[in-house]
Formats: sequence, structure tokens, C-alpha cells
Amino acid sequence: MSDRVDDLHDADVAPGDQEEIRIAPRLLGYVVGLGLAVLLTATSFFVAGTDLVWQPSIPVALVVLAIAQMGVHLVFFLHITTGPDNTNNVMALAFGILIVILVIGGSLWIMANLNHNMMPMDQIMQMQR
Amino acid sequence: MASLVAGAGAILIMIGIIFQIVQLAVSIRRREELRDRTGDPWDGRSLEWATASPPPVFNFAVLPDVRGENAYWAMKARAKKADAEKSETDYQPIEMPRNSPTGFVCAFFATLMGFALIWHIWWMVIAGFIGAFATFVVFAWRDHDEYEIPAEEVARIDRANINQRRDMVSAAGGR
Amino acid sequence: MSVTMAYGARDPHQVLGLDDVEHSGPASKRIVTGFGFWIFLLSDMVMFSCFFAAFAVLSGNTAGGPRGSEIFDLRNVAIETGCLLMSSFTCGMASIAADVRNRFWFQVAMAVTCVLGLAFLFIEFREFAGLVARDAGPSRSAFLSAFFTLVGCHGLHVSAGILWLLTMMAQVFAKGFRADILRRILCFALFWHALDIIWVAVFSVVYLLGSAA
Repeated sequence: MSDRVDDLHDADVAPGDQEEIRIAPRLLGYVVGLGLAVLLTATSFFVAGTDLVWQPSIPVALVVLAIAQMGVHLVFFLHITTGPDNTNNVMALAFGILIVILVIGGSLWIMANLNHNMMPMDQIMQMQR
Repeated sequence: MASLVAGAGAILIMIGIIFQIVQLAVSIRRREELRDRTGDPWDGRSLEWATASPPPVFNFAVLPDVRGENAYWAMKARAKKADAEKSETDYQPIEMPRNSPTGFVCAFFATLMGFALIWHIWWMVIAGFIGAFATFVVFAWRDHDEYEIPAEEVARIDRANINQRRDMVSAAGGR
Repeated sequence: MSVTMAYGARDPHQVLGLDDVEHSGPASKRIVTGFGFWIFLLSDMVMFSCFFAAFAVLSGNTAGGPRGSEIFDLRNVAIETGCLLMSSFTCGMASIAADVRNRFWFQVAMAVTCVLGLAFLFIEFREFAGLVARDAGPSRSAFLSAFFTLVGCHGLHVSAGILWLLTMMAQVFAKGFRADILRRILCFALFWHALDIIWVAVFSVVYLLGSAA
């Protein structure tokens, strides 16, 4: 994993570890993460229950807010960064996300297809009426 | 017409099977002279051929210096160019992980628990779970998870492997 | 560049620039262990994604039984979410305490994490028991089977995490901040934060979306 010839230290950081050693900035990082997460959670709950937004947009809004909060967790709690010492961690995460997308998206797509192609006769007749 | 083709195919397969049997017979009959003791019977290019077969418990006595893709080939080329016996290697003691039956024991209890869950044998579920967790804790509590192979032992094993390899090379007429 | 590793995590193979080699050797144990556990966690998330996919496909199959909007109590969900979120924060505090080798604050932070986790489990267990009592258990419909499987699997993970947490507290109490115990604390922190990430997906997709439908 170390590839820089002149780098005498480990060129990587373990996932979950961070470079910062001083306590105060680390504490602040967690507090900010908590604050953002609470904000996003409250927003999610609000959006789900309110009449103030266009109803069909609620699922999209909830998914976006969830993804944002997962990002907040990854950055502030798990210290995943875009630095070169985090490359391996990000690569593994990206691959995991790819598989998750394929599994969930693929399953939904296939099942929707099956549902449509295998519609029971009475449902088809109902649609034609 | 089709049966002719099929028949020809069957005869071809039969010839193949005969060849297989002949190969087995010859290999078993000549096994002493054909035996390879170097771990590198085909003058390999990659690192897996750099160890004996079976390899020693520590795999490599010294961390290999990997340069380029065909690492072992490059090592051999460099050795030939330097035209030297390997200069006296600096053997260090090697830390090896200690063996433990924990995985096996834990899996036994987990299997017990799974079986009991299927058949609703609740007391066995609890027993299996406690057994698995207790094994986990006992394993976590051990103080020594490594043992050390002294440098002399590493050197002894490595030199034995090197000598065997050199003998095979010179017996084959040198390379 | 500052030292990238936590204090005291010596590398037994001595490749941290202590010898004058022109190239570095293998990564330290902390990195290897942490990365290995990270990969395991990603595989765990893939497993959860399978349960999510099953739930998404079956969420409409209520077999005449209750729908999500009829059985979900969002107040409880909000409290559960708050508990888990705070527990992630306190777990971070425990990580900091471990890095500066402060036993007292480590145990305090872990204890608070444990209490919050147990609170989450208590509320979830009560919810499940209530549903079963109202003939809305996992065998009532495909939707409920998928719901109980997904959320129950997450709850099992939290339970296992609590047991692991208590074991880590005991280990630090008995043996202090040894290098291998620090590595285990790192893995535990990764595990606990990952569980919270999965819960974000659960409460958004299962509870909030299910209630809006």
C-alpha cells in the first residue's frame, strides 16, 4: 500500500483513524457532525409529515436527505477524506456502494419487470376496461 | 452418417483416456527420478516459485525485494549478473501468529445454536450462544498471540531449501 | 507530515522510517487490521442491501394486513434515532479518549454509549412485541416478514455490538490500552458508526417512507 519512495512513514491511514492529534479539533469535528446529523434527521421527519411540500417529491427528498446524512457520518465520524492517505478506504467504499446500488436497483428493476410481464389475467382485463 | 461422426468422437475420447492412464502409470513408476524438491520445476517468473514446496511456515525468510512485474525472474537475472552465490543473508527472527482452536470451537457452538433455532430448542439456543460468546471472550483475553522463530532456525530452514535448489539446478546442467 | 498513527502503535516490523530503506515495507498492523475490518463492514452492508431490496420489493404486499402507516409510531422512531445518533457521538468521544490513553473518560464514554444502545434496543423490542401482540407479526404478511427481517437484523447487530462494547470495557479495565486492544477499539468504533449509517437508511426508507405512503 505504500508507494512513495521518499515517504518514510506509512502512506495510509486506517479507516476510522484521523491525522489530527490535538483533542480540541477532533472534539469539534464530532460536535459538528452530530449537529449536522440532527439537522438532517429533523428535516427528514418534518418533510415526511408535512403538507408544505409537493407530495410526490417526498420520497426523493427523504432519499437525498438520507444520503446526505450518511455522508456526514462518513466524513465526521469515520473520517473518510479525499486525501491520498485515504485512497484505499475510499476505493473499498466505492466498490461497496457499487454493489449495493446493483443489488437494490437491480432487484427493483427486475421485480417491476416481472410484475408487469406476469400480470394476472383479471388485472389486464381490468386495465382494458 | 451421424453415428459415424459420433463413433469417431468416441474413439478419440477413448484414445484420450488411454493416454491419461499411461501418463498416470509412467508418472507413478518414475516418481523418484521425476520428483522436484526445489519448488521451482519450471524456472518460474513470479514469486510463488521462489519458495519451497511445501513452503516453510514463514513463507519467505527475508522480505523479498520486489522490482517490476516478474519479480522472481528479475531476482534470478540480478543474481546471474552479479554471478555470485547469494551473499550471506541477514536473517532476522520472525514473529508468527500462534495457532488457536477458537475458530473451530466457536463455530461448533454457533452451529449448535443455529440447529436449535431451527427446531425451537430454546435451552440449546442459549447454551450455544453462551458457549460461542465465552469462547470469544477467552480468545480476546489471551496475552500472547505470537511466537518467535529464532534467526538460526530461519537460517537453517532457508539454507536447506537453497541447497536443495542448487543441487537440482546443477544436476540439470546449470542454468 | 505528522505521524499518521495513534500514539504507541509501534510497528513490530520496524518499517516506519526507523531504518534507512529506500522503500517502505508492509503497512502497520493497525492499518491492516482496520482496513480488513472495513472490508468486512462493507460486505455486511451488502448483506443489509439484500434485505433492503427484499423490503422494497415486498413493501406493498400486505396480504390484507396492516400497512406501514397503520403500525409505525414515528415518535418512538425519533427517540430511537436520537439514541443511536448520540451513541455514535459518545463512541467518538471514547475513540478520542483511547487515543490519548485516558482510561476514565474512555470508560465513561463507552458506558454512555452502552446505555444509549440499550435504550434503542428496549424501544425496538417493545415495538416488536407490540406488533406481534396485535397480530402484525412477521408471519402476517410478506411486508411484515421483510420489515421484521430487516429491522430485526439491524437490532441483532446492535445487540452484538453491545456485547462487544462491554467486552472492550472489561478488556481496557483489565489490561489497559495495549496495542491489540486499541486495534479492537478501532474496529468496534467502525462497527458502531456503520450501524448508525444503516439506521439512517432504515428510518428513512422503512419508517418515514412507509408512513408517507
